[in-house]
Amino acid sequence: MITRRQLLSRSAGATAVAAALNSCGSSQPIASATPVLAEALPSLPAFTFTDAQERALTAAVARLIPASGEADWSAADAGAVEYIELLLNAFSDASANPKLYGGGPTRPHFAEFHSLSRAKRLGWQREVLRLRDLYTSGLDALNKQDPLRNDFASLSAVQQDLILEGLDLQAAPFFEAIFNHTMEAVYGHPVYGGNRDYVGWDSVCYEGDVHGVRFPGGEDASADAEPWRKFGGYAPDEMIAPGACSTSKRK
Amino acid sequence: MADRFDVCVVGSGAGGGIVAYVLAKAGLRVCVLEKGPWLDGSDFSDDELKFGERNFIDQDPVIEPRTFRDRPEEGDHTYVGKVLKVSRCVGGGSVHYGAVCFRFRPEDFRARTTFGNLPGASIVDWPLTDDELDANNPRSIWAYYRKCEKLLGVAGGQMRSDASPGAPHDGEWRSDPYPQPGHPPNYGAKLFEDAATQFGYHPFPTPVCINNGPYTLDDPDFLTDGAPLTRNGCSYCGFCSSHGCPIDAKGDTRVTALALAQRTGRCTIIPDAHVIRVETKNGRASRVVYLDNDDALQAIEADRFVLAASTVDTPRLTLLSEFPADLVNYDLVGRYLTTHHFPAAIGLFEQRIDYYRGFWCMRAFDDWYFGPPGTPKRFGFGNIQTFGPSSGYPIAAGGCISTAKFMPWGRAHKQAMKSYFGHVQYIGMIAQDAPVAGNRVDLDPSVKDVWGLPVARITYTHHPNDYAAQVETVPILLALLEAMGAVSRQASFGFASTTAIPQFFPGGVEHRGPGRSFPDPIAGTGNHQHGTMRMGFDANESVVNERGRFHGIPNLYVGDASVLPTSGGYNPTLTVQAMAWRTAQGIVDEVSGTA
Repeated sequence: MITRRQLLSRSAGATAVAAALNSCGSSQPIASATPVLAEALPSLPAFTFTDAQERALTAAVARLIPASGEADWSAADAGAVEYIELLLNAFSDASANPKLYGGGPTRPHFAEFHSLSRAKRLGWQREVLRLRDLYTSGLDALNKQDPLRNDFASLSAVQQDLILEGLDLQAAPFFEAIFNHTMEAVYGHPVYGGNRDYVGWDSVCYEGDVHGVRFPGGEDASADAEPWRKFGGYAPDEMIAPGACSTSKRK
Repeated sequence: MADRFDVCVVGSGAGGGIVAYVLAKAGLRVCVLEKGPWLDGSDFSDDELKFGERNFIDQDPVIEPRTFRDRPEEGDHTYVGKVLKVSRCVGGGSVHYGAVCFRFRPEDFRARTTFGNLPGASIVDWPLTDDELDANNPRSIWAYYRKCEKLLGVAGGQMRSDASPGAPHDGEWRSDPYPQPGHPPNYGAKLFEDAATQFGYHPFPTPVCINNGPYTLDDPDFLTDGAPLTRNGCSYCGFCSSHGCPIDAKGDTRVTALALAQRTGRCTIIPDAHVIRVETKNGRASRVVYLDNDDALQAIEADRFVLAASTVDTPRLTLLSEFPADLVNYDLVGRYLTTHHFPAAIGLFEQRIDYYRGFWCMRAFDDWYFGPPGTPKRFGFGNIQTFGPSSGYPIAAGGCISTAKFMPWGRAHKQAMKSYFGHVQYIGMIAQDAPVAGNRVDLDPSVKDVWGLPVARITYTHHPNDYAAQVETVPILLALLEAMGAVSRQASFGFASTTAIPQFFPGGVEHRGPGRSFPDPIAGTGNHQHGTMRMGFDANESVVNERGRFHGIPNLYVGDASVLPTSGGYNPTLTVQAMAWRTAQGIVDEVSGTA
């Protein structure tokens, strides 16, 4: 099949476009302007924060969901930085599918990421590049809030909170990104880099993915098993009588 | 002429899937063009991030944003992003929906006669004849509902443990039994049921096309190759609304209508086919032009075409196609958009409710369908139901009932999450919004999709009647929550323009400015959408005629939710499907010369 782009590189004009139309009968030239989908790249260059940026990011996410004490975890402990770095590097490995959409249907397949259509690749590559800029400029600006050391992380927790609060009140796009991504990291599936050891889900007693992971061996394959046994889910008596924290069934 | 089809259907969702099935089963050669991918159960998973946040199947703003404004005076638009989303994949919106399957009432099809009009609105009777509302007529709308219920496997009425499984409850207006018995409730739905009963209302299991045990369709009238179609029973995993079902227990058109259409050998489904234009020649639709997944322009020729691309994308495609002006009532294309309005309330409970177990809506009652019980029938109300047991995930996929993105950040975050997550129940009404000409879909003047085409713009302001109905309804919802034992209750007024997300904890989105954590400015709690290609007898008052055909283009039809003249007070999909079946039957009759 000839792509429209290949075709246009050979000859331009309505006649050529019409010839590319794979229809029988009399193909007509297309009168109005034809849409163009730009080429998505095979991959994006790998992305790393500078040490200063990563320090600021780690400190900021740890203020969005802070630890309450020495024994407690913060969003940084839960993997929020790793989550963000994985998202910004979703297209960095040309030999693998982008790390955007986990596979299915059950946990053993979650790491088999989906391939993307050309349009999705293009749109998400643009989005990842936008987010890279947003983060690098946002984190640099955070560090500038500490004029002495240029180091947001070395400010006190109260100072850090005030700075973040200011960005929040302005609805700054950088704050939107870091807030949303921190929540996604902590309460999303660990395959995306966050929710380390399920700390986010355990903290609210949430089982998360239940298909195929609630029973020994993944699922009860016997053909006549009830669906919640066969595939994983909740039996009617578990639906109507919740209460006991049952995240242990997940592991 | 190997590539020529009898009918080409644009869109494979709730409406398009039914159309393809009816036509292929009747012997026609059908081509279905779907802009999204063709997924199966193994592509779906219990993964809120993938579906809710990254739009695996939803309208994805990184490739095709939509824009929104309340009214033209605000300028070109006030928001760019996710608006009135529906899934872009084979099966369309029926893949992600909550699968609630109500029949509209006779009064809904005679809305003008029943309710009269409202100032500034255009409440109309539907173009169905009296014969078509006669239950004994085999071509009545009720007959199409019955077929859809059987095909999709609707479960409702009395439970398996009750005296007459599948028979409707006292509180339901219908008398037909359901193909499968009603589902058992989850905890929040049970509390709701008990409280409603205590108030003298008549709750019942919500009818849903979610299998209650394995469902085998073996009626030869429905099969296409003689082989029965068996699907799994629901496992109550909770990843239902906003997600695709990994075990095919949800009756989306992909695993029902389209699966059977495929078996005819006469239905070709082309995924990743992005239709950009319908062309006409000598006053008839001649072909549709699309970009395939390799960015190559393709075209499909057919004798007839059915647009079923959704309430937003069908008018958009009609506008992009730039048909000769004398063929289409362009002044009305995109107008009378209705989205429902959602009077609702959220209750916070001391004990765990675990609303994520089960599916989206497990119990409902109709006592307020026409307004406060015992008062004359009024426009603006609807079915009261539990909202969102299934979408209570910890990030935000369930909208305002979900959690982390609606919680304060900082020191208060973890405690807020602990006391909120799993502890709330959300209830509300699917309330009928008034159709208004100024509420519409058109093309945004500046924002383009990744292909460089103008995106759809939604302009929507609620009619004062919607506000009045909410003010009357919300107190009863708060009272129900109190009776259910909620220790704290919040009213949630679900409006397009002023959607206010109730916050139990200071620091939530209301304290942060607009749009931050709640990305969908429409309707707050739902993505119901109808009305933009109004169906009617009169070519001056509608875009398509009573058979779903463009008044001025004799071989071009619409087969999705956009034809609905009013929104009714129920979740609309089963009605969309019954109307699509009716339109498809009209095409079959026309082809066979019996029309």
